[in-house]
Amino acid sequence: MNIKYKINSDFKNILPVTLEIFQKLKSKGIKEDVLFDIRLCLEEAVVNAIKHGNKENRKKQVLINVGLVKNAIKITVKDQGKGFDYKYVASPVKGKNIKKPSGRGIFLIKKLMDTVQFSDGGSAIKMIKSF
Amino acid sequence: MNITEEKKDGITICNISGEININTSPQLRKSFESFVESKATKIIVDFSQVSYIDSSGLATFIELLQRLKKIGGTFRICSMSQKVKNIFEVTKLHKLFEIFDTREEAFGNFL
Repeated sequence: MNIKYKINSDFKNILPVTLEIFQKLKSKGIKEDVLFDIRLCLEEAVVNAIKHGNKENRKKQVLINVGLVKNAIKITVKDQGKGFDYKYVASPVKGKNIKKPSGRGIFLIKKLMDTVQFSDGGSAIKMIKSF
Repeated sequence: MNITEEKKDGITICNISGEININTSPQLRKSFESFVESKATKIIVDFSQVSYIDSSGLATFIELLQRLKKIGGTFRICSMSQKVKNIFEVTKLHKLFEIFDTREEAFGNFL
């Protein structure tokens, strides 16, 4: 299974796509617990792509690629922004950061997925989850 | 997402059902604003019907806690599913919020 989506940078476009992917993965027999984590990480990545990557410019697009290989799901999310310094992302669980409302998206992705890799200067993220 | 409100013994109980995500968080924030405006200082948020929460939802609860503390209030969360609870634990927010297994326990010494 390999699915590709291209959406404009509007938060309203996220859910229809992620729910469709969720249903397709569910039909492959993947457990709900695993799907919960995958869906959350996919949505966090797309939100980041729209918000921080494409700066909510609706003319810019987000590319989503979901591949199912044996016992692993590979997801790539790419935006049309300038990227970011992915080597330095403040931990939301350290010190006073715990009280900050924002900054948990990438942290959640790193915690819930097995492998996370950034490329293209941070404008693309690849996530792998085994099940 | 649907939000209903009830009051019991001076405590505001906020029942949330459905998903707390990037699209529904603004609605949740509005409800919380009304709690703060009405000076509700003791709130229990019942999560028993919450099936999903993302980082925008977590952010909304942190904002509520900060606003309530400014007026001398606080809130408790109860009845989370294991998956939703896991998100709070992974992000260590279970240390920031008062989380209870049941509504009865949340009422406990809150009265």
